[in-house]
Amino acid sequence: MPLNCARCKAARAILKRPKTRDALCKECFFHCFENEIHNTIVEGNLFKPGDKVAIGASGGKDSTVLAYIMKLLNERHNYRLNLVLLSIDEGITGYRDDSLETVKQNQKDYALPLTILSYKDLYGWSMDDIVRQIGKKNNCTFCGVFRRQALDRGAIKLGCNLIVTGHNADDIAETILMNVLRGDIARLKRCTAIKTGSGDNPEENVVPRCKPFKYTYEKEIVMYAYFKKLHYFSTECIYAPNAYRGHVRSYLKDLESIRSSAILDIIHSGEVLAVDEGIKLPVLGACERCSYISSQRICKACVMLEGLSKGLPKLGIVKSSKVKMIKREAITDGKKCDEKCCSFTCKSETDNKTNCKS
Amino acid sequence: MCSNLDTDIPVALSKIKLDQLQFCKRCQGKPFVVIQRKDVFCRDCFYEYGSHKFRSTIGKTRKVKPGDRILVAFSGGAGSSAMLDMIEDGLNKSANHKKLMFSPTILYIRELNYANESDAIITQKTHKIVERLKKSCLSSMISSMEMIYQDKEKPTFVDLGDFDPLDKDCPIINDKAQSKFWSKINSLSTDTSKEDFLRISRQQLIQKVATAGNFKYIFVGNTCTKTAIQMLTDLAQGKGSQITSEHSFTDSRFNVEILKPMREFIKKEVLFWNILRGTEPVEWSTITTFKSNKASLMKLTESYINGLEHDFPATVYTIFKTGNKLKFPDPNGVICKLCKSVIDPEQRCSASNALQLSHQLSKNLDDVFINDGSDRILCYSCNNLVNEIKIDSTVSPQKLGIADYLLYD
Repeated sequence: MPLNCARCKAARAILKRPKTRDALCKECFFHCFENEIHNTIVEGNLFKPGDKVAIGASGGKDSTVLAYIMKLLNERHNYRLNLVLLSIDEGITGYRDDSLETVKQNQKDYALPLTILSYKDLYGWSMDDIVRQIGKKNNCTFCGVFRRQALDRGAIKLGCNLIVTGHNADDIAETILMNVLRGDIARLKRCTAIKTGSGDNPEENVVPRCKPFKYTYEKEIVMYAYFKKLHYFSTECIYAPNAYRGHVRSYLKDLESIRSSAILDIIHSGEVLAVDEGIKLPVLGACERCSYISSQRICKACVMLEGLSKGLPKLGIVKSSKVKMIKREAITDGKKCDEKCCSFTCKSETDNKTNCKS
Repeated sequence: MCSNLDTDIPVALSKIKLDQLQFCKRCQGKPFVVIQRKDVFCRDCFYEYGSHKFRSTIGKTRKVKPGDRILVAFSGGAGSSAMLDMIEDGLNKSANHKKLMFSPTILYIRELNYANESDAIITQKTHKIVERLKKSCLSSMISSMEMIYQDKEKPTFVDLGDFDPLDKDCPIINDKAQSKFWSKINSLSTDTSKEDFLRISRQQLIQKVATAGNFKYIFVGNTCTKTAIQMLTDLAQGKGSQITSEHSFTDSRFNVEILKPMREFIKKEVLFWNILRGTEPVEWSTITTFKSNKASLMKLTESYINGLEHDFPATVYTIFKTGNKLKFPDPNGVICKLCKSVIDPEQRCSASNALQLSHQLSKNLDDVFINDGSDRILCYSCNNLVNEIKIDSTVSPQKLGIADYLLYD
């Protein structure tokens, strides 16, 4: 027996909403999906008229739907936003070059201006170069740290005062679980904020960012793209085998299959839990070198870049407390080299050492 | 939840390959158990380590004073068996400063036959637990889960001596109350909410007995491992703000405060304590014992954490420590009628509003149906729980008064 839509009661239902498990027809699903995001934007006070907003666009499902819906809602509800697309080219052959083609297609389809910034231009290193130096393990750490900064730099360059990203409810629930499993209390506290980097500390040298999909299920985003026939790129990054996050992801999907509200339940938990005042949290300051926000004296990106240029890529991966130790070792290695100056054995020795470290 | 105990111990033993060169880290004696990678203990030192940890967990909060009457909740499982043994051992110590000075009474609550096991198994398990209590030097009381619906004039617990499982006149065997309890359990549509309901019911029953018996504190045998699993499950059920009350040493949401003296022991330590001391735990099967890992949120989380623990041995400790760093919710807030936790304050842009809006939009409900917050009597997760009660289709939900949503009269 064909099921009728739970909302309009007239049309035939063609899907079961992952969030509530209600059967809906296509039009009613679009209505719910769009209105919920509009509601999040209004209730969360995400934008004000005249904002110039950079949409972080990777070409994947989330950012493609985000670009589409931002344009749609901006026109429908007259937010009076100036929207632009901002992409970061990490320099991963066989992955990012293909997905950027999708973004270029989006640019044409939605008539939004697109800017692409590359790691190579910003930092002098593409991800391919980095992986060549450090191997396939831990390279996501570099990519993540650099991208965060790259988006900010891009937005500043374009004169944007806000960045929107396609992080969905699944991503946020996953991050909450991960921060509990890793005991990262400082991130646990801030990872649920819908808008970050605004207001609390005016000296913060960052562009505020927000997540209009905070309460939107990943499955619904895929459904929306599917029924709207939006064109997106869906390949995993070739360097991506991030084992720990993968564990958490599959656990979250299992939770969702047992109780569909589990994802929002986790976000609710994250929103209401408070960190004890007695616990010491890192203080946000600015990096001495590049003046980007950092909880350390020198920000992670600068440490990583220094490591890469000195042939000590481990600098960026180990705990910040161990950075000094590695540097000291590197200096003593250098001294040994001076003492035995000009001998051939010395050169090969130091080469060996650097190889071992990488 | 520890029903796979029989298989657990050989696995745990096989993983530990005691190096011939490794000796007890304290006295260099013959090795008995390796706790973490390098912590090797001989029998005597492991005994000292365990009983010291138990005393210090109780001692450092300075809550329990000499002579305090304490109700010890005993389920027969590994955690509470070890706890009971440590209490008995501590009371009999001759050295004055190591002797436990409080006055404990054991409470055993008979559970229902959730997993539909044969009568022979149930009788055997009950017999084993009752024998264990008889062996104890402490006074013991018995109650049963259905006592949550006991008639008002009848007692909810009896002394161990007055209990006979075959005696139909025994006040704690009440078929009418039991069938009422079963119907409440069966009215819940998922195993997750059934387990949640049982946990809340058990907590309330223990409170009832403790209040009637005028006890100062309740001891429960939750281990560090169980705490970590339960904490992550709670997080997945939207109980973020309740984690502190539920899982810290002191839980003061109720009449009688609940203390958790076993919370610093991991499961492995408890299991080896039981082996060392020759105590034999009896695991009662739960609703999900014989079901798949995806039967409930709890069961899934348990298998997930156990799996992670294999590759990342610090997982349980890390979750446990994270929980210790959270803040208690504002005690002046509105209290949930069901689980007695503080109801989370309303926020404009929040997950609970987003979920309500989704239901409202996709079912095309009126705005009126949305709670405005002033009349909320249930917390976020208990609200989820009552939403999973199967409603009789002849009665429209609008006609039901809120009293009918409550699980307790």
